[in-house]
Amino acid sequence: MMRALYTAASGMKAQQLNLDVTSNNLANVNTTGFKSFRTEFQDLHYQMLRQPGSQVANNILSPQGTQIGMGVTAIGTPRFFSQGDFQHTENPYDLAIQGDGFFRVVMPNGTFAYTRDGSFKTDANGALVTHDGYYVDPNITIDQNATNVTIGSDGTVSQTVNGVTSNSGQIQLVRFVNPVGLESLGKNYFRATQASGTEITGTAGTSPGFGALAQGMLEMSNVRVADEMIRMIVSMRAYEANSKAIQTSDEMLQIANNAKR
Amino acid sequence: MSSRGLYTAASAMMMDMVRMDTVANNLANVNTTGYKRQQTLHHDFRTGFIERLKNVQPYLDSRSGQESIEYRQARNATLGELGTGTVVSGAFVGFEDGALEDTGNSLDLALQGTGFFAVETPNGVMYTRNGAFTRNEQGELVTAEGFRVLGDQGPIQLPEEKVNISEKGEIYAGDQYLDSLQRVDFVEPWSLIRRGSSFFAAPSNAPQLPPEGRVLQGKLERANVETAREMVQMITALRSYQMSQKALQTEDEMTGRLINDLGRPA
Repeated sequence: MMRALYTAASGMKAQQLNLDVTSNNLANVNTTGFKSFRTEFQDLHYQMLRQPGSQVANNILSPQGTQIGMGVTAIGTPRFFSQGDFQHTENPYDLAIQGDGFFRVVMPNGTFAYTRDGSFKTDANGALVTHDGYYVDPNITIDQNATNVTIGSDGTVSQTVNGVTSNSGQIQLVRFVNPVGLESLGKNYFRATQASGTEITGTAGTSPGFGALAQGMLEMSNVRVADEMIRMIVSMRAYEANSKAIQTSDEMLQIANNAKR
Repeated sequence: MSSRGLYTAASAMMMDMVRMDTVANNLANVNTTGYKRQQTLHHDFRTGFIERLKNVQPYLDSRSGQESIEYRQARNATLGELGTGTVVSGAFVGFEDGALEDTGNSLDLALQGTGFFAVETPNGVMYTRNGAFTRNEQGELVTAEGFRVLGDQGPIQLPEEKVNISEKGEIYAGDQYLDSLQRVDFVEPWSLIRRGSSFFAAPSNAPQLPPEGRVLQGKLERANVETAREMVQMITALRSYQMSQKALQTEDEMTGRLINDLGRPA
């Protein structure tokens, strides 16, 4: 049967995936610390009908070959780790990272997870936790009688209890050689993989590239709605074009069948 | 069987199928970074001469010892040329630049103008226009599959901070020069072999040119497929297919008449 049928089908599948990724970006347009995805495509293998440079006549080489492509495949959905916009919240436990760092938190199973979502809270004991109750690592404990909690741009937490200001730890940041290689766990968490490399710890503000912390701010998603709309239009039209290719191939097969009456 | 037309029409139908396959591949890759469109080329088969059949036996003239004049005349009674069909002679690759998309990602690179990036793959060095690069866990510049992108001094080790890449492909970390991206330009880019995954392989000793393409950082080159052109190609292929089918049917009908009607006693 015709190659074109399967080739065009691969195109439709690819565009469907593209739309899936775009919809997820749009769905998360208001998710704190969300980093947008994009879909990367590559062409599939080629069937060689005639090798370029093959002899067509005595001492005459064909300058170009005939190779028929077999369609397209998605090679990956890398995230785009650009800075999101900041939103002013005035909540003292809301932190935004202005740079490439991540917060490190401890999952219930004891392993580390990483997040850009700095909308922290305190639990019943005053420990700084994420919205899921996971502890920030290293642990930061806020006294229950603390009146004024300040988190500096370097992550130093100071609190005032009964008029006495004291330092109660420092929030550390981590970064990765290849953040695109992080595994998304959902709920704004990431896990380190072999592709991302192991975590590199550092201090906010001072270690280069980690970025400074901003208290009372949240990092919004870096989804650009206009870009997503354009991607949606492009994938929709590409889907349409590929469906036309399927229709045409079908018609050609029908014509071939009707050749014999 | 005298119906040469059957085979001529069939050859055209086969060619149109290949044309359609190519269009479908272009359309499937309309969103593939760095994809270069293909177009099939075709040429006619060798044309034949039709000669009149005449019931003259070849015999030698008794006096001259050569072929008789009568026979020579009969042998040279050419009616004219007859084409015998068409064949795909090649698939042309359109290397014109695709549209640029601004991504803002510092490791997304586009080449404007001619040339390719060189990539080290398990099957040897390959060339690509897809500059959606990333870094691996060792901090090297790699393609989406993890193959290492080559600089003038081999694989490129990136620092932790963001790098700046000049139009000539020179990579800087701050003010410090690291390496230059290999840009490879071929004299005959159409002789490259497509390997899939946006890769082209070059025949050994393929002559090269001094690279001229400009490296643009934070941009990606989209496929250079134009949907309108592909649609026109698709319609042409379909209608030409249809026409050849009609020719084939007519030829079949004529042969049918010949067999069934001509010999029937009145």
